[in-house]
Amino acid sequence: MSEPILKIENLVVHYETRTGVAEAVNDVSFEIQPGETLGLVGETGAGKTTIALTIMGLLPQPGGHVIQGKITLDGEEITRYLSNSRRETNKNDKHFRKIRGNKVGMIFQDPMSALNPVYTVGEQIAEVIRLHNRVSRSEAEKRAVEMMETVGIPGARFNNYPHEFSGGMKQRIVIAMALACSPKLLIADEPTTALDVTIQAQVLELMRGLRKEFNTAMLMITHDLGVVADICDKCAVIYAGQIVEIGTLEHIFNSPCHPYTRALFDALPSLDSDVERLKSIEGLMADPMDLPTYCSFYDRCDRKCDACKAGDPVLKEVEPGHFVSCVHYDGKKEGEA
Amino acid sequence: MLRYILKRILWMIPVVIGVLLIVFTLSVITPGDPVDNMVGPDATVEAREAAREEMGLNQPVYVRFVKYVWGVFTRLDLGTSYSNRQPVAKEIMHRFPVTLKLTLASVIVALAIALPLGVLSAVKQYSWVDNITMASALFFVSIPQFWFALMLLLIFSVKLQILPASGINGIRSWILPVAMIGVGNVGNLARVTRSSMLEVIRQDYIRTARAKGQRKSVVIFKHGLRNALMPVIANVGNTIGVSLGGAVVAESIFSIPGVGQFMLNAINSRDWPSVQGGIVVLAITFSIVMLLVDIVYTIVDPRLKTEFQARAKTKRKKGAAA
Repeated sequence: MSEPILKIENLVVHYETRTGVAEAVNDVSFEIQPGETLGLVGETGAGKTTIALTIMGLLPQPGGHVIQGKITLDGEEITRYLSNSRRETNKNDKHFRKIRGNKVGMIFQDPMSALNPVYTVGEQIAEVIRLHNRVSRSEAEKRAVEMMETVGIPGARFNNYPHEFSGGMKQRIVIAMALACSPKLLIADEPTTALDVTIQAQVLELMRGLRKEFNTAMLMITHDLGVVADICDKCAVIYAGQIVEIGTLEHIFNSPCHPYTRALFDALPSLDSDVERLKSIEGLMADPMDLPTYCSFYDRCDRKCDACKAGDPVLKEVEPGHFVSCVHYDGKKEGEA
Repeated sequence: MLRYILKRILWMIPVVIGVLLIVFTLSVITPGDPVDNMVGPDATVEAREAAREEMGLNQPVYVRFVKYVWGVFTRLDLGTSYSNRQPVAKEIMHRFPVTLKLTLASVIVALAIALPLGVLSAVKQYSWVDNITMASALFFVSIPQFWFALMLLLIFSVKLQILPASGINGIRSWILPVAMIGVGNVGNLARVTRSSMLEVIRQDYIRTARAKGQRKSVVIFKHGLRNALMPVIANVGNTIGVSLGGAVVAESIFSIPGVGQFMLNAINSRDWPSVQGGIVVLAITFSIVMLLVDIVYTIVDPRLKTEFQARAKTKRKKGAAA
């Protein structure tokens, strides 16, 4: 195996708020190989976006802290640039500025608000090109036009403002902006959530094509298993800031193990069976301000037993490349236990 | 856009007529006969009547009003002063530049101080910089202008004797009047900038700009401030209006020969044409400022420009269909 583009080891992120400390990300580890796409699936508040913002060094300030863990991006450890003191902030921000937009491109959830309304889309794409390449204004503009055409927007619309585009087109422009400097890693934070279904399909199709063209590794954050099935190679299911199951697409979709993953699949409508009501997962996600010392999914789990309360489960390999954190899977698959 | 500007200029006509109507009514119901001031207290009845005849004061009010308005719009004639029998327009044009300079200087200086302060307080929300800025902004907005002017005079002209107390000679004499009018504006504009900026820096496109690798300062000033400017510009329009009023006070306190002082003297001598003339000029100035503010809007925010164009288009279509 080659050197991974992104390697996250034992990442813990907390938010300090007035009412207490929210444990947003708890001991998360995963890696992404060059050209590979990892889907990060979980419900709202599970810590998906926090992981993305940590990689970008854009955790909300004040309040967001990386408590421990190591993030290695393209062979360089970037967690050491996370500043703890105010004095270091500027110096460290300089390191992160070289990463943002250059090594890591990011696509945000809502294209409607992700573009600055008072500058033309062309200017906004050219801005990122000029930030990371020593090129003249006209050269940057030329490249911006090329990027626009790559994502399927006529270059003639360079001088249009964001409000003159539809949502799907805006998301294309956001994608063009994220890919303008050919980043090694693309973080897509729910890129299709705000779009309607036909546009979703178009945008996913576009991203699939571009991923091949630019050979970019991708971290796809979503709560839509359909998107994962569509575009990802690997999938990590995250619950209450912890990865509960991680494996290849086949592992997760064909033999889901963790009760949470299974419940997610049960909640999907099926074409084969005719059911009136979809299954839902009872209850709410554990409060990140007050996580239990045992399995966070305990309260909602349909397979809970006394052993679950004994302690926090850890990820164990049930088959090569497929990890589950649940006491019911102790290094073996269910049937073998 | 040009049509819009033209329309707005035409709209000034009813505004001016309305303003005149109010001032005219006030001049009629105010006790005191302007003739007293024209001919002196011991003039004969014949002399008084002659003066009344000469100034057209023997005609009914509505005739005088219509004649006056007609003169304003057709000949730019603001009437003749009762006290020195000079054309009011000439007197005002002579003094108006001083008032305008005073007003604009105070607004520009206020903006130059308020914008950075507002941005700084927003970026460092709840820090000591923010707290001090906002507390002093509230203080300076709240204090009465005339009292502040007297304090300035007391400190800088009487005690320290470093700045002149009256008149307009050279740059140093502008400092106190500009400070007097401007200080409230600084407070007001800094508060508006801060609240507008606070809203903008939480927007997604600010995060997008940072995710591009842009410097924080560039993100704040290039991506943030321009979006935050809209409410500030609206406020600048009003501020200029208020400052025109402030200039009237400042001119009388610091004996500056501007429109304000001229009007104040005219009020005291019941020289109604001069008062009316001054008010017309100030009203037109304010209308022009408001028009400029709306034009600046469309420059800062391209969304508004598209809106204007779209509106013009639908109107034209409607016209073609009819």
